[in-house]
Amino acid sequence: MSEEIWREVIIDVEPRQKEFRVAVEEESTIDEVVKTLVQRCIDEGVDINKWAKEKVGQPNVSFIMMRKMTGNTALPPAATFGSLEPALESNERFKLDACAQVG
Amino acid sequence: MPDGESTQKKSAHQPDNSFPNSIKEKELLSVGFFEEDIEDRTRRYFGKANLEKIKNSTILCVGAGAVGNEICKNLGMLGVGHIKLVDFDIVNKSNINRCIFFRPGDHKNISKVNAVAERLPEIAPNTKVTPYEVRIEEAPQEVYQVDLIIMALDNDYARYMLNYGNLMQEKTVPMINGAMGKSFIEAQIYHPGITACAVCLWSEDYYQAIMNHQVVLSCDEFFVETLPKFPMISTLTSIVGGIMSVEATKVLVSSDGKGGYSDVTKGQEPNFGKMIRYDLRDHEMIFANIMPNPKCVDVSCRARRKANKISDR
Repeated sequence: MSEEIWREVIIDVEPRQKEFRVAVEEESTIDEVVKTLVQRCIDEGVDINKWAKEKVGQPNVSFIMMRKMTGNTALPPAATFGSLEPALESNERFKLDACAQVG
Repeated sequence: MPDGESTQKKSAHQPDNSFPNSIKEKELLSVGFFEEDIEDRTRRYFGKANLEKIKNSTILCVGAGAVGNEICKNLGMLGVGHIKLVDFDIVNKSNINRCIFFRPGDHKNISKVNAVAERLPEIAPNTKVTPYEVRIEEAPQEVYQVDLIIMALDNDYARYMLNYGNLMQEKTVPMINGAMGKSFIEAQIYHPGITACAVCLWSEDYYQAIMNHQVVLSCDEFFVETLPKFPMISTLTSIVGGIMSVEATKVLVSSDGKGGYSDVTKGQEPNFGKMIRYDLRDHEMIFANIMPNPKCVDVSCRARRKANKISDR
């Protein structure tokens, strides 16, 4: 019998032009999911790093994960999905984006 | 004024509660004397007491480039009493397409901070500007003795150093960060130690990359790194500068002068711990919360938040 998935979330990643459905655990961190998605994009031939660098104009890019259900919350990389308040629900929507740096 | 017209104007003002009660309707409708007062319209907007707070405030603006110019223009015209301006760089012709205080003749002749300090009094005669022609990490500690910090920077290493400098003070002050990307802008309002700080959204890897990149740049004395230049126009800087200035006035007018903040005027509450992102492609605006990082790369941020929680109990 397969183990039950804790939560499945939907993450919008603009350069891929298609959402990811990702199974997360309570202890999964935002950073782990961001890294996984970046790698998945690369594996699929989507150059997400190039897209992000062009978007923010810097050689190093800080990705940001937005939780949509709460009226948008920018999530820190070290936060776990189990620590989110209100508690995470299945099929919640998130968005992966890049942070602006140039002032 | 004919009676009919007067009645019409009165009813037009009735549903609008944005004018403080201290301004009588007679004053709102009269002309003449008020046209000679440079602060008249600003006072009508904020009210006398709030304008006094703005006039008595000191801000630190780090970065005198595109966003820094906009901030100085806006906050100067709003009547901020004193702006401490930090930037080590000199003016280049390529800055002029988005910087109101720079002129073609400034090219490699004058520092950015001195150009702003020289020309801001032309439009804001009551604002004192103290220029500091240094990098933020080399600035004297006195620059942190302010009511508000504006981050008008073009790189995250300087942001880290400024955030760190603020967290090292006995009492942190609110910070407003602003930056632009291709077709979008964002601004954040922080009160470090209470809300998230300016580096709470950084991963450990990103922090390392920023520090390593700075080492590369500092070793690049003879081989100047040529990064592709980012497309940037004045319309974007105006939008981000405008949003940051609005949020700056909210912080200044809600200050109780003792380090606390209260919503003294409806609509002027500071948005601590919030982020504003505006996408110019489809005009989507996002007003988001910023969740503090339990493992922020700046340990002072974590320690201060923990200490604040304990003292609140």
